[in-house]
Amino acid sequence: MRLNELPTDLLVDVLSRLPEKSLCRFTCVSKEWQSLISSPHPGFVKALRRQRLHRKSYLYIWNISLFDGNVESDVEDCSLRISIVDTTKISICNLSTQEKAILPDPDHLGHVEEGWENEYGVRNFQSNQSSQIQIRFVEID
Amino acid sequence: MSSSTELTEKKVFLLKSLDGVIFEVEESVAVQLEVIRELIEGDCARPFISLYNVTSEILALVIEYCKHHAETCSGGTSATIADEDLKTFDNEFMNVDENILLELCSAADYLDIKSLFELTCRTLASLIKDRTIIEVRKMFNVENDFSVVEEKAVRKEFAWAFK
Repeated sequence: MRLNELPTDLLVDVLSRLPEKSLCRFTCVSKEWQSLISSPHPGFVKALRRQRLHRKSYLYIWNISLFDGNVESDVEDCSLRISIVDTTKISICNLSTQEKAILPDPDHLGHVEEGWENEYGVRNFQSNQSSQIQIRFVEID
Repeated sequence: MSSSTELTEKKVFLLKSLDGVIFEVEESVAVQLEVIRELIEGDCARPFISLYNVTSEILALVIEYCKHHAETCSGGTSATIADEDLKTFDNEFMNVDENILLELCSAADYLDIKSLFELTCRTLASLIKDRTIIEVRKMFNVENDFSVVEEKAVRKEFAWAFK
């Protein structure tokens, strides 16, 4: 077997174990890799969840519409608490300002456990014109 | 066979590889293959099991891995010593060429051996993590289907990752 024969689901498993920096870099490999890494591919989210217990930091990229379009853009490099409220709601809380927001209808919430809560350092917390938000989480030890 | 020796006799399974080589393994080793453990628990395990996706070369390695892990875990050593021992073993075990590593990863997935799957995925990830984009394209034989403008935009978005 050669690396180029690696089935997509195994490739996803390998990619999900890469450090954040490599992963972001590898979005430039091809359009397929870009979509595998950042869409996020349901298998990718599942792979991340499966190994959540095994590692201290990982990358999560979600593209979610923002609830009334307003999260401060200067939250870069802050700490957030992410809670899964129920199967339709994710709440995020900026731990330095205690501001809270509920993210509406995230397409991929079905892959996340209800009641799950964790704290993250967030980098590149950015929203673009189409009111989509992209969040990359690095779990705090 | 007297009944007293029967009690201490260990149950063995015969595993047949894709290329027809038969391996005899004890139950303690066989149960590390989740696919086989499920058969045993469901009382469906026959003593002879064909594994259609694994060659003898890879199956021998898989059995060596499971055997070492089974022995280390059941031995009387303390948990920390066992842990250290497994770490050393795993490191040495991963010292194989890329193709074998891929075969092992795929076999661990097929046979559902979680610790070996994790180990091989982690090793593969560390093998590629510091590679350049061009090297990764070459390794995985991926064609760059971005236009110059598109690639520039993606690189700009993730500029911090290229520093």
